Amino acid sequence: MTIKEFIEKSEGRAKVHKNFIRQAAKEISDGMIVCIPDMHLLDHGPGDDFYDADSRNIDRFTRFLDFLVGNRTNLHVIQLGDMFELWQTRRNTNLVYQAYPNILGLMDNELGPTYVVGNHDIDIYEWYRDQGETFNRKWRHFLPDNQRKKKRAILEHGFQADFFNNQGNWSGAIGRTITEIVGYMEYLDPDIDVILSRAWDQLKRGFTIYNSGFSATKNPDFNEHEHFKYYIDLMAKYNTGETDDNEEPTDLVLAVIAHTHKARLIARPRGKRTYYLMDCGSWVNGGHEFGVISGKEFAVLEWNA
Amino acid sequence: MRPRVIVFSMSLILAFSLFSCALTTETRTLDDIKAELNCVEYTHGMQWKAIQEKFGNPDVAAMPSAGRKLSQNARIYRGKTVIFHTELRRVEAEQRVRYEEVIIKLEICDAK
Repeated sequence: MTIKEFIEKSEGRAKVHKNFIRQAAKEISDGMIVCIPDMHLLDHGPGDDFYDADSRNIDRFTRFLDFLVGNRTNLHVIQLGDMFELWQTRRNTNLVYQAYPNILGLMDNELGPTYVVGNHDIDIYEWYRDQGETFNRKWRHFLPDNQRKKKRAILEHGFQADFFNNQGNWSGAIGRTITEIVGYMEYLDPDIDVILSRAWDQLKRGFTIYNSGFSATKNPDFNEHEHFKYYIDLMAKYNTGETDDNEEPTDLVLAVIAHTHKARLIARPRGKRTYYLMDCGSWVNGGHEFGVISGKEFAVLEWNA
Repeated sequence: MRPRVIVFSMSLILAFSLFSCALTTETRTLDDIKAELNCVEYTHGMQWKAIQEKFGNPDVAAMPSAGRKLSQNARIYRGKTVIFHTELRRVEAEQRVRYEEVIIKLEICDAK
């Protein structure tokens, strides 16, 4: 199925988000891949940003899943992490299943997706790892799935590139603690995370303006999510075969992530290749974006129904 | 001071307090919890004697309600732990596939 066919089949419910659609020089996937970004499923309480105190958010996502289930023979789903909001449930998925049996049943049993782990559900990957249990979560995934073909896209949650969310170092522990505290504050004001996020954006903007006056770099930026440079470097490293987990050099050009809750699709040339970063957005606080890859084409779509 | 700043500061203090309290409760697996319990699994049609031998005489032997048979009785234990085991069940509703949680096993337990 092509992206155009996917949109047509949706009968107007799926459309390209902004103008976020691009084409690589060579094939990236063998078939249609649907990438579902952050969901942060919790308990229908004030801290549940997927529900966001509006049952229409759940209904919209359910209709999206119904569409995917109806077309499952023509597509494969990759959930890009942070499906669960475990920072506020002490690592425990139990009550999330109680709150969302239908969504989780459709995801687990009908779609059978590839699950990539995120920083908010990393506990189900890390906590049991010494027992050899990761609940089918992967750190990262590559496309195409065909082992005989060179890898063309890297898919992971995106926290790995993020100073305050990389759970592999001390800065990530600080970020997690702050987020947990904000989570408890949501019981006092459900929108406290949105308010603080806006305040943080204002602070970043201030730094950007400051940098413009003093930096020698053209169009400088202060960004807590340094994703693009990180992923270009990572893909370049894989392409030269300089990583420990890959024997043959790859032909990576596309990094697919989530994590920031802000959809974007950017391109930058380096050497002989043009590299792309596709951030698939989110399904929290009313977000309803997802990524699609089919053949050479890839796009961020939104679901409106 | 602006009211929003006061409310925000109070929220922050309260959130820190709640956060500290939350840290004192530890999440444990079912195996961890059951290690401290003696449990009996309920199955339909099991002998009453098995329960009585495990937990002793009931705390309350309720009188039969009017309209019921004298041979159908209810016995009540107070202070027991009940464990409901659940899983997802596939159902069809309005030609759509849906999932709901159902109980697949029930255990009644006493502290060791």
